[in-house]
Amino acid sequence: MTLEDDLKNALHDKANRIEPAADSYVKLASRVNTSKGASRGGSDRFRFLAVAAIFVAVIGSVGFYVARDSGDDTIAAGPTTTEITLPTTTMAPPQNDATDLSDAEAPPLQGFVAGPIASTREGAALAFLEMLGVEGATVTVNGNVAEIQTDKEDGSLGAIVSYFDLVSVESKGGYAVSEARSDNVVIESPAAPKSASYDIFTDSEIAIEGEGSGFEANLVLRAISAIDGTLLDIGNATGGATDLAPFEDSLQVFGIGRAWIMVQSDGAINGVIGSFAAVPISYEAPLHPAIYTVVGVPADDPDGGLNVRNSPGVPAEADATTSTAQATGTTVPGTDPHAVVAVLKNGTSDIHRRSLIPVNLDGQKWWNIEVGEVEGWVNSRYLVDVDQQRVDDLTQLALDFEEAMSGDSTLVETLPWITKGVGYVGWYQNLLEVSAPTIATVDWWETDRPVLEPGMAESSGLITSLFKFMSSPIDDISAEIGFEMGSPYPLDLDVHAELSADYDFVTLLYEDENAAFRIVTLYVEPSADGPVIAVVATAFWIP
Amino acid sequence: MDQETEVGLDATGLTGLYEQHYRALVKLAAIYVDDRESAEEIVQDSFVRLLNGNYKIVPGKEGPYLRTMVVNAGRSALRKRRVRRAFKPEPPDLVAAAEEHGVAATEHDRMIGALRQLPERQASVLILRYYEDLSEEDIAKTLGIARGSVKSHAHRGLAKLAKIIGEEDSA
Repeated sequence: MTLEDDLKNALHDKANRIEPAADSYVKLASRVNTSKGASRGGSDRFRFLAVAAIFVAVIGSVGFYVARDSGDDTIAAGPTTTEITLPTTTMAPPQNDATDLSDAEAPPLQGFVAGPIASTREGAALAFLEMLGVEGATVTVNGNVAEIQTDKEDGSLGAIVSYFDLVSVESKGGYAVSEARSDNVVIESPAAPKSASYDIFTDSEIAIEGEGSGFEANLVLRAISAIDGTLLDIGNATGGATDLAPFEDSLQVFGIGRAWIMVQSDGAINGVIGSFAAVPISYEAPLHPAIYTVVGVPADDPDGGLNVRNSPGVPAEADATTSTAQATGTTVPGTDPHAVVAVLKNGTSDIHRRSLIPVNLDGQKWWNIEVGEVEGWVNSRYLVDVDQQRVDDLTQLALDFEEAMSGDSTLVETLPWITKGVGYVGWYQNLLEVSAPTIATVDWWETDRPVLEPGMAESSGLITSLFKFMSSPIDDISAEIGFEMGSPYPLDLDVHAELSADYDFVTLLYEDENAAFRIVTLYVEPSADGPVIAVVATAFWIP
Repeated sequence: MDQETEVGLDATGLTGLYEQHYRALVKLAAIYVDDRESAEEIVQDSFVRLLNGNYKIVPGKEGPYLRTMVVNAGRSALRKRRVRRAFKPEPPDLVAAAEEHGVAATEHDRMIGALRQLPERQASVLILRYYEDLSEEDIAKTLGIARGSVKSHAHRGLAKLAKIIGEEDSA
């Protein structure tokens, strides 16, 4: 294989890993209209268009969609008019499964998704199909078996071409479809409702396995939001051409949500719905592997810290036993659902959320957490994502630095400098001037600093003024020594903060209209009073 | 000659452009940046600029305009990334820790990583040639350079790519 082949494969592999978000059209439409200050369509319209666009894209992505009159074996392939003949398939209606007719035997699990609710099973089936993006069909429900006919242009109904076992349940006074089955597609995993919930610590890939058949053995897999019907992800898998064959693939979802996993035989024909199966899932994909720390518990708190309880909420009246247990951090015996299992003092860290879904009680959000061997529920107001807080602090520090250096120099003194002196690095020299021996990890900076490439040059204005400033004793910092950007060009500022084991740092990247960069990197050390600037590095780069 | 018209802002025009180009452009942008959000931001910015910028474009030719915008934005992102990384060396202990935990890039990731080390124009020529399968003429139009430059950028880019990969293999 040549380098070109490798490159081609790598490029396509990289691109194939990315799909637009489900709500990208809605966002784009909103941005376009917001920018123009005009709105030509309501959100509902855009949502419809988004769904329609995605649906068309889905069909298009299959690469082949066909138009066919029901009952006719000859089909016209679009967009060309080439006629091909498909083998006639006789589809027998599935037998009614008496057990499926019993709501009692197919109850929805707590918190489990079901299809849209309607007053009749037919209505629920139609609403369910609409949610999946299927329109222009009439459904007759016999038990749980839905006979689906296409609506013809003359108002008549086409032949019964599709049968689905739409498992219905009674819900909130109406009916809802809770699962869809067909003879041509079987979803084995995720099975409804067994593996419906995804743990926060798993990745966001939902593995889908089963058996199916489709035109040219192609099966289309979709994750469809159960909230608004938008397409969350789509994929293709290979099943059997005529007989059922195993398939497996995965779809990716983000955040928290509920969705339908739908697997459909390829070859949806002129409104005739290709056989499909669908199961509902709820998911919690990892958004941010945050680690939380307890902060803000008052010093005079009678419990001495943040209570971890067996379940969200607090008992109406805590008894003396509970208070004693809270104070000592011991487990409370008995069946009190709100029993305190541990007390976490301020500063307790390495706390993980076990679920991204909070429980809201009386305006308070309760999180299911895990710290060490302890599991339970805590009031989230006393937990802080320390890493995110560090990033926010760094970004704010950089913006303060920028304001002080480019505008009001009196602000310079108010910045949090390291008390023993500030290190400074300029690319025009190899010397790292550090007057503070406490900067323990300077060595890596000196030894691993990248070689100055041709084109990297100093900016006299930038370097000189900053050098003067940094060369001055810390006590002599005054308003007279400022920071001149020294550029007549408009500068586009990009602030980027990163965390590392030893240093946190934030880069201010200024780009001018000639794509030249001025770079200022602040290396920050923690201190008792918060982050302090320990090293300032500057450079100027001309492409 | 085809009539030039202002790109429509109406929902139908936007929907058409979205259907035709959005997904492919997000994938193209993803070669320049790592995550979906950044890729989509590039593409959305391009759509907004095209649709709100009073561009006079021959109907049906919006695709190349959008592609050029996305490539330019991708090049800008590449530049920023390169500059930022050049001035932000990783502490050696962190690098070692990453390797110990098996975070080594896949072969494809290595190739993309090497590609991103090339000068932006060389990288873009290779992306447009080996991902978009564009002709030299179309690459030249997209990047606003001469056809001869396309050849030389491709040649030099491949040579440098081979060198980077080779150096990594021997390291």
